[in-house]
Amino acid sequence: MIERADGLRVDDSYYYITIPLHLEYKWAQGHYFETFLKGLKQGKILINQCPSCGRHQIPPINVCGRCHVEMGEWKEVGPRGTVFAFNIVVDPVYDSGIPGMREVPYTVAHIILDGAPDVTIYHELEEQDLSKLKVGMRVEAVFKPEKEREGLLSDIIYFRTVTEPE
Amino acid sequence: MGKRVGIVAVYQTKYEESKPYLHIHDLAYEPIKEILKISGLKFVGDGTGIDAAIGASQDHWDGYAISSKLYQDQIGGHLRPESRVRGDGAVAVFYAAMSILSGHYDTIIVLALAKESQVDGRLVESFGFEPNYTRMLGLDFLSAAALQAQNYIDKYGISPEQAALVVVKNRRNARFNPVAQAPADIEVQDVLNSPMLSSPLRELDTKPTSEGACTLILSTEEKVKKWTSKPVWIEGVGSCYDSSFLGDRELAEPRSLTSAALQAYRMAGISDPKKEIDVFELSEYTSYQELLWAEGLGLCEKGDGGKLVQSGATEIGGEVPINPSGGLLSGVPVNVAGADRVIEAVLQLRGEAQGCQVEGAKVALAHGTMGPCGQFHQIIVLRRGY
Repeated sequence: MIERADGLRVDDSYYYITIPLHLEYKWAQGHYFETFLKGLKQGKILINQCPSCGRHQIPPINVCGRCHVEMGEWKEVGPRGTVFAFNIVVDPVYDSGIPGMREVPYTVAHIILDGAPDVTIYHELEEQDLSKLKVGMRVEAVFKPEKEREGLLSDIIYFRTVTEPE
Repeated sequence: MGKRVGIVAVYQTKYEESKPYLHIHDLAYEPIKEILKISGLKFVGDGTGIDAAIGASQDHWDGYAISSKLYQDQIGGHLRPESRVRGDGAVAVFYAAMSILSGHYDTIIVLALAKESQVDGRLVESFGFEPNYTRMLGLDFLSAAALQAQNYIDKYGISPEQAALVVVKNRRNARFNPVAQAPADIEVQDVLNSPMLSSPLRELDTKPTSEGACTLILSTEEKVKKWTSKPVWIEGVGSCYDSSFLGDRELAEPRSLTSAALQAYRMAGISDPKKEIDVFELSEYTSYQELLWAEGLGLCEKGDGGKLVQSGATEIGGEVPINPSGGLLSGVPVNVAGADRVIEAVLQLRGEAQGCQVEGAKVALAHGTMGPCGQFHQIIVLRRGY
């Protein structure tokens, strides 16, 4: 053991214990999330719109926070959209959905879906080459095969780049 | 108190063992929608409506860090002031009252909620113990409360039959409370025959798993008088913490409750709570706790809680009615518990407590508690203002 002049140890001989933390929740989804997630299972992105100010919500919840009114109409948007912001994650992070450490790199993005210009959906992009990523690029949701879908956000594998005529 | 804070409106959902059809978003929105309708108030910052919001909930129960985000939009917190009490709703009422007395806000909405069935509650409560000592040894709130009950029995000779009388009284009172979860016409023997969970506590000696939400709007004296014909004033408040380590406490002496109560009595000008307070809504997580809390509040001598319930004094028509609503033993969620006690007290003072009404109630005491065995206590004394 090496002691510094101020008395602190410089090696790792301090005493630690491991504290496990495990809680599992059976989280009731209610009407709004159920509709959204079951929509994904059918290969659809269903969102809702405020009857007062007209803004869309992703994910859909029961209230428009801005107007404090109950959300109204459902509409199907996407699956195509435009990249609003992106980044490539290279430092591994814990993903509670796995649960475990995620493989890197992967690209995440905020995407403005066709049909809902005032809000973005957060998801992954297939493209991992930084030189090929651009704000404004067109992308499209790629769903898992129907049999493998579970009614979760992961029913969308990622958004892939699409080329559209000018 | 120089200035006064009053209650404008209250609303409770029905309490149920589980509400599997509701997301926390939905559980939060129902009472908010209803109280806005009842009060006619809106979330506007121009002095004519609700200025700020305070929630009461807990991350571990909700499965989400800073879980008030689950009701921020619902509680009117979108680009507006919103904060959260991590724990009991009575503390949120206390914070709301302080915020109004400070002059910073006039009108505050309080929301308390919990969906207990979504997670193993005993595991959640085990996180209330420090990791490297009692949690590692498997202590949870139930077994801690059992230690307390056994200590109380050993010290004062309280009997399981006396404790069971609390359950019988509360579950029967709940028959007249439209939002109560588990009204039941039971007998002492039913309690004594219910399964043992952690000796001496049997299933019916403890609060059942519960889900629901409740909300209140508080405001200044001036605005309360304008907005309701039945004002109820907060006259006294007090709160106090005891040691975190159970070994540093006298489990059968709720000294932090007594300290909180004395603060509130002094503020409300009460010298004899037994005579001057007409109804008590207490947070009894176990049957034994209601007896202990009665002692801590000075409603009887130390060790006489059992005799108090036996005498009938705590019945609706008794000298010191306790939990005419049915209390926690009839099913009220954590976090909601203390705010719900305040609401039940308000309903009593407004004469709106239906079959649980204590005739002519003018002064009421509401109580919330947090931590194992009643580590922290919050007292709120309310007075009818009309």
